[in-house]
Formats: sequence, structure tokens, C-alpha cells
Amino acid sequence: MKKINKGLLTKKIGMTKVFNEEGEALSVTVLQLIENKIIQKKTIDNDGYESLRVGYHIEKESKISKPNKGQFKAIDGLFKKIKEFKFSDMTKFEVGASLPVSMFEVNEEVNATGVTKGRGFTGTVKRYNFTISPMAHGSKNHRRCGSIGAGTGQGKVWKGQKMPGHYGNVNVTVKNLKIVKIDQDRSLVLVKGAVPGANGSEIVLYN
Amino acid sequence: MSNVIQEIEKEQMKENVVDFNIGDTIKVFYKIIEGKKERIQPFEGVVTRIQGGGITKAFTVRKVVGGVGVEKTYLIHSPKITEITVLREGKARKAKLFYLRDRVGSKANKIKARDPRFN
Repeated sequence: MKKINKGLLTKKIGMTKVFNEEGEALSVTVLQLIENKIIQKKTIDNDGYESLRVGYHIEKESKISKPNKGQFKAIDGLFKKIKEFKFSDMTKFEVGASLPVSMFEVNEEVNATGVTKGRGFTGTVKRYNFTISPMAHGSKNHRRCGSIGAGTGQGKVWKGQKMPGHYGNVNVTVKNLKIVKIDQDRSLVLVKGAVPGANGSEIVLYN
Repeated sequence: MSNVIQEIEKEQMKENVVDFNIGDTIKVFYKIIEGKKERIQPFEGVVTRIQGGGITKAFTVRKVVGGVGVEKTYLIHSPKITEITVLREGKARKAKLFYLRDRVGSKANKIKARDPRFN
């Protein structure tokens, strides 16, 4: 992972509209901070590289195994998931502290990484926007992909030929989204535009 | 819809929105910013569509200018709308008055009034 300036783990709440100071309506995605607690600080002397281990998604004590519990000795609270952040400036972070929403500023550009909605095994019409054939007038070809190559002269199907298959459920990053608003009381970040994934899914914000 | 989104929308909604229906003739006063100057542009016509809910609730106003139909869609809660006045209440039997687009001539935008005295 490349070194980043700022980073947060958030949950996608949904989309809405917000009016800016000029009165223009902006479509925004509402992202809520999930508890981001620093559980460990990796150092060059100890681990060979610098990073922060951040725990998120608070978990019940009964659900965590004893060996796993050892990771959370230094802090109070147990977490379901852990992610590592490699920040360029590590000095201002301490073990036990939470990453704040105020890390980001309004009008700053951020990247958002998430897992897109899984669509399962999908045809070419939905997956690659192929054209559909006539539904009526005796056309027996409705949503098929058509020809996939030349005849015996070529004698093969080229690699990368677009065909039906699994679609969605992959990591996608949307770059340079503008932050419209930051709400510290409810720990919300409002980002202009759409963000990958379903409502309630995890989104990593960073720049 | 999530509670958080409802809260965000509620903060921006206008408290007193003028109540009007499909088929009403209304006048919308819309703020326009040209460079540094600000002016208010009124637009008068028939409400042909009200759509959406919450902060995205919008309405469309139609009028015929010089034989050409003009439709403008506004967000009800937009801060650029300074005022809406209802000039005449109409009696519409449809939720969307798109059939007005096919009409030609002097009666192109005419809707029966709810109050028979205006007819």
C-alpha cells in the first residue's frame, strides 16, 4: 500500500441532495465514520516498516477468541476488523486514540474505495452494454452476444473477448471526490457524487 | 430511508412551503446570479408535474411563449426560490398534465378553474 496523507474507514449511509451557499443543489453521498481506534503503532525498529493498525466494528467479548483478544490489550474495546494505514506523517497519532472526522477539510479532494454491488453471473447486455436484438417479429436472438470471432481461418477466439460471466463484487476506487460538508457531532462526511457499493457497506476515504 | 439522511434533509427543508396542486397557475420568483449582480426572474405558468419526495421534491411549470412551449423544473426547497404565489386554482383530472404539450393554439395552456367563477 502506498503512503497516504489522511485516511478513514466509513460506512455508506446513502445518497441525498444538499444545497450549497450559492443555492445550487448537489448530489452527495453520506458517509458515517465507524469507530476508528488505533490499536497498534508499527515502527521501523520493531516491524521493519511504519503503519497504524486501526480497529473498527465493535465486537462482543464472547465473539472473539482468546488469541485474538491479545491484540486489543493496549486499548479498551474489542473490534471485529482491523485495517492498516500507512500515513506519511505518523507522529500525531497515539495508540488508544480514535481517528477523527476533522482529519479532512471541506472542499478537499478524496478517493473512495469500496466493493461494488455483486450482480452474480450476468449476460453481456448488462455487463458490457451490448445491444439487444428484436424481441418480436420472429427474432430468435434476444439478449445473446452474437458472433465471437472469425471462422476457421483464424480458428480461435481472441483473449479478452467480452462474454457473459461474473459481474460486480470487486474493489473499485473513485478518485477526486470533493468533500461538501463535515458533521463532527454525528461524525459524517458528505462527499459529492456517487461511491461504489450498497448502502451500509464499508468505504475507505483517503488522499 | 436512513434516519441520518432524513435529519440532513430536514435541516435544509423550508418550513412553510406554499401549497399548490397540479393544474394550478402559479408564479415562481427565482433568484438568478449573473456575475456579481442578482436579480429575480418571475415565471408564470401551469403546474404540470409534481414529483419526488423529501428534499428532492420538484415541480414543473409550463407556459407558451410566442408559440413555443417552455417548461421549467424547480426544486421546491431550493433557496433560490424566493416566493411562490398561486394565481388560480385549476381542476385537473390527471396527475401529470403532459397532454398539454400536444395542444396548439390559444387554448394551449388552458385548464378549467376549480372555482367556476373564473371560467
